[in-house]
This record gives sequence, structure tokens and C-alpha cells, in this order.
Amino acid sequence: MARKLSLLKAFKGNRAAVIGAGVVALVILVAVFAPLIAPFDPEAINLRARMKPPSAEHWFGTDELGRDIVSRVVWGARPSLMVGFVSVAIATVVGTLFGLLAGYLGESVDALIMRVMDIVLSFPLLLLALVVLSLFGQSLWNIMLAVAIASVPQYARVVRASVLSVKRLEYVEAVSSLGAGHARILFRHILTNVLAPLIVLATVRVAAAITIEAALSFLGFGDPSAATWGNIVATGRPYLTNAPWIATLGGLAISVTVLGLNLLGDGLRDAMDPRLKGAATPG
Amino acid sequence: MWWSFVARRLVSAVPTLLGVLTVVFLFVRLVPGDPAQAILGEYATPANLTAMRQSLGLDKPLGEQYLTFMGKAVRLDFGRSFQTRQSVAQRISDALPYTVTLGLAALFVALIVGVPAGVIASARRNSALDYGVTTAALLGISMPNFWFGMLLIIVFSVQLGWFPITGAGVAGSVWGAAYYLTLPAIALGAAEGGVIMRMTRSAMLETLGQDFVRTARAKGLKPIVVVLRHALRNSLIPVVTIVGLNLGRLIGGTVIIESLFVRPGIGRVMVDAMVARDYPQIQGTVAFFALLVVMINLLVDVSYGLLDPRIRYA
Repeated sequence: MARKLSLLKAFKGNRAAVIGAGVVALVILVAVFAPLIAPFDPEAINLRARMKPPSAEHWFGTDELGRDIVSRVVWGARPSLMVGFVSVAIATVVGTLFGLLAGYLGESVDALIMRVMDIVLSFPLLLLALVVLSLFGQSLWNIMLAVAIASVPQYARVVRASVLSVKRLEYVEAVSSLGAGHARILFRHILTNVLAPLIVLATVRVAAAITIEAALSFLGFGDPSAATWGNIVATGRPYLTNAPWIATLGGLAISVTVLGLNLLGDGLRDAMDPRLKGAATPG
Repeated sequence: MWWSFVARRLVSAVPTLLGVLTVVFLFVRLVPGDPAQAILGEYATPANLTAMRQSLGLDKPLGEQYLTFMGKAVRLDFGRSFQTRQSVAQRISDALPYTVTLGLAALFVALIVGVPAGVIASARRNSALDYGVTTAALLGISMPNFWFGMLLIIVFSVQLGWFPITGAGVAGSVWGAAYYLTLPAIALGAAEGGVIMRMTRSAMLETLGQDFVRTARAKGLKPIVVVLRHALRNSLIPVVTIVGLNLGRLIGGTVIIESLFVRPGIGRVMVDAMVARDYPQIQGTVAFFALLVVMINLLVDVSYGLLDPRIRYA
């Protein structure tokens, strides 16, 4: 309890982290209450109001089909955040499992798992995602899966390193000599001690996943039926010269969200584990 | 000592390289259904499908396909592109100079902005300048590079007309190339510059707190000499590490930036090949990028010993 309190204190003392948490909370609220916030139907086509510049009615103008940009970006928070959270959830579970097994069992299992992780890490994340999408088709689910696969090694590495540093500690030996089985030691006693770096990693990886989905949409490999922020920016690309406002707000939404997540990740890291300072980078 | 480490590190890269090629081999075999059908579409005649399977080597037993593929792949032979009938390797080597110049230019931008900014921020810790620079770095990291590139185009190409919107210029003209390269390099290098700035700042802060820096100051050396000659030199290793670790991402980023600025680099080849389902070209290009990343990691690892004489390779 005392540890939790001091954590909270350390976190509260970090102004950037509190701002980050506030931004992230705000974006989540926008996603949840999108129907109440959006002034227009995001899909309502109005060909008479095509590519209108920002005005009192349409704050950030309209797109090439006359749809209100603000409404589209507000609703776009839903699929964009979903990509971030779902892909991170998958990668966290799978990566943690690999990392635990590699670190705890060691020897040939460790060598094999980490070799496979090295191979996956050799492919630039974006390329790996592109290949997965070109093979299995462009859908939001495949995007989440692709980003998750490409992120697994990062989790495996972080968890493995933490396991290696705690598994020789006395308390593990103690519970083991008390008769605790492998599964109990792994999930109850070791996993709880690798949570801190794991949470920090997951936070910055949500940001990375949102950015990658946006990049994939931009390249034309997104899910055309899901109006993510990346998709909204991509639709504005052909009109950069005559209607630059179409691409502006979607990109701003991505930037602000990613910035919030990065600030939050930095703050969590400083609060939970000062040794990791400067280690986290997105992308 | 160092040479034996380099040799061992080289040997340990071999299974990774073979693994990378195996994954690339599996890509096409993992396509749900018939890859020949996927390439030719649903109206293909049976004769065409058979011919396509033959040209992909899919009519042979899997083991034989694998050995043939690997035997050619280690010689960087990935067959011919479906789109252009050129060899896959030829298309890559034609596009390579554009991608390398873009990558190096982006890294250059990131370093000349990131390192000095990090040094200044650490020397003026907790000042308004420090906060400003740190915030700018975080912004650079957080903005999607294609969006930042779009903003650059809107402001500097469309509004001000200083730079061209797209293209790569004519070959042979240095100034022409620089004219076309400036905006793409800034768009691609911004995130890296932010990361380098943060790393430089935190490494500098750590070094500035050490005894030898205090000694240098106590000797009466000018602060700027202490910061640049004593502290900066000892702070560069983590910066080199982070640059090396992030080069893979930089390489991935060229795909996006080349697409945005319509530059004829390898990323562009990759995207075109994907749209056309040109599997040999996709395989070759992905393998090339992955091999590049493995090589870069190797170089980063072996360069530590040259940068820091304290590192011993046991």
C-alpha cells in the first residue's frame, strides 16, 4: 500500500505525466461520447458543400464529399484507439508469454525463442505489416494482427530481461523451496515483478500502433471501410494544394494522442523505474 | 580480442540471415488459397494458372522449392519482377541510390539538430530554453512523419513556393538533388532528431554529474570547453546506440516519405509491387530491407569497441 501511495505521489509530482494522462483521458472520452460531441453525421454526404474551407458551421471545413471534418475526426477516435489498444493487448499477452518462457526456462528454449524474435525484429515494422496485409487482405483486424506480430519481440525482450534479473533472487528460491510449482512461481511471483517495465512499454506501443495504422492507411493499405484518423488524412492527400484543411485535423488528432501517450509513458517510467530513463521510444 | 568478437558476431548473424530468408520464402506459401489465382484474378484460364504456378516454382515439392529458393536467395537472386520483367535485384539496385541519399540526409538533419539541441538543453537544465527544446523534441517524435511532410508541403511548397512538391530532380546535379531532398529529409528526420535530442540530453546530464567533470571545472576550464570536450565526448555512446537501433525504423520510414514525395526509391518499388501483387519483387525487397537491418545491427555492435576503449570483449 505504501508503495502504491509513493508511486502515485511520484506520478503526481511529474507535471508532464499528469498532462499526458489528462490528454489520453480526454481522447478516450471523445471516443466514448462521439455521438454527443460530433455536430454532424460523419458519413452524411452533401455534394453541394464539397471541400468548403473552415467556417462557423464547419470548423475545419468539409471533405471531397461534403462530410464535416470535425465530426469525422471525433468518430475516428473509435477505430484509431481500438487499433492501438487491441494490437497492444495481443502483443502484450503473446510477448509476455514468450519472454517468461525464455527467461525462466533458459538454455535451448531461450536460444530458440530469442532467435525467432531477432528474425522478426529484422523486418522493419511497417514492412512486416504491409506484407501481412498484402497476403491476408486489408481489414482492421488484419492491421491489428500485423502490428501485434511485429511488436511481440519488444515485449519478449523486456520481459525476458526482467525475469533474468529476478529469477535468481532469494524470494523466488524461497517460494520454490516451499513447494510452489513452476506456473505459480512464473505468474504469481515473477510476473508481478516485471509489470512496471511492461506497463511503460505498452503505453508507448499504443502510440506506435496508432501511428503505424495511420501510415498504412496513408499508403493505401488501410481498411477502406473504417474511418480511422489515418484514413481521414489519406483522403486529404490529393487535395493538399486546394483544400489543405482536409488532412490537417486528422493528423493533429494523431499527434496530440501520441504526444499524450508518450508523456504518460515517460511519467510512468520515471515513477515506477528510474533506471529506465530515456529508454522508451515509439515506432 | 576485438577481432575475435567481430568474427563471433559475424557467425552469429548467419542463422538470423537464414531465418529472415526462410520467413520471406514462407510469405508466398502462406497466401490463403492459390497464390497463382491471387495474382491472376478470378478470370484466369487453367493454362495460365499452371504457367504461373510453374514460374513461381509452386508445382514442385515444398522441400525442393525451399532449397531452390534459398540457393538463389543467398546470391541475392529473387527472380524476375512480374511487372517489369527486369530482375528483382536490378530494380532494387536502380532505386537504391535514392533511398540511401534520403536516409543519410534524414540522419544528417536529425544529428545536426538533435545533438546540439540536447547539449544546450542539458547545459541550461530546467530553464525555459530546456523546456522549449524538450517539448519540440517530443512533438517531433509524436507527429506522424507523413503528416509532418504534408504540412511542410503545404507551407513551403504550396504557400511559399520555396521547394518542389514532389520528385527527385535530375541525376548528377548536386544542388538540384538537395533542392528536392530538403523537405523529405526534414520530414523523415524529425522523429529521429527528437529521439537523439532526448538521448543526448539525458546522457549529458549523467556525465555532467561525474567527478571528472567537476575536476575539469575546478581546474578553471571554460564551461564551454568542459561541456564540449569533456562531457559530450563521453555522452556519445548511448546516442550512437539509439541511432543504430532506430535505423530500422528510419528505413521503414523511407517507404512512406518516398510515397508522399513521389521519389523513385526502394520504398516506392515496394509499394508498387504490393499494389500489383508482384510477389518476387515483394520477396526480394523485403529480404533486402531485412538484410540491411541485420547488417546495421552488426555494425553498431562492433563499433562500440572502437568508440569506447573501456569496453572489453570477453
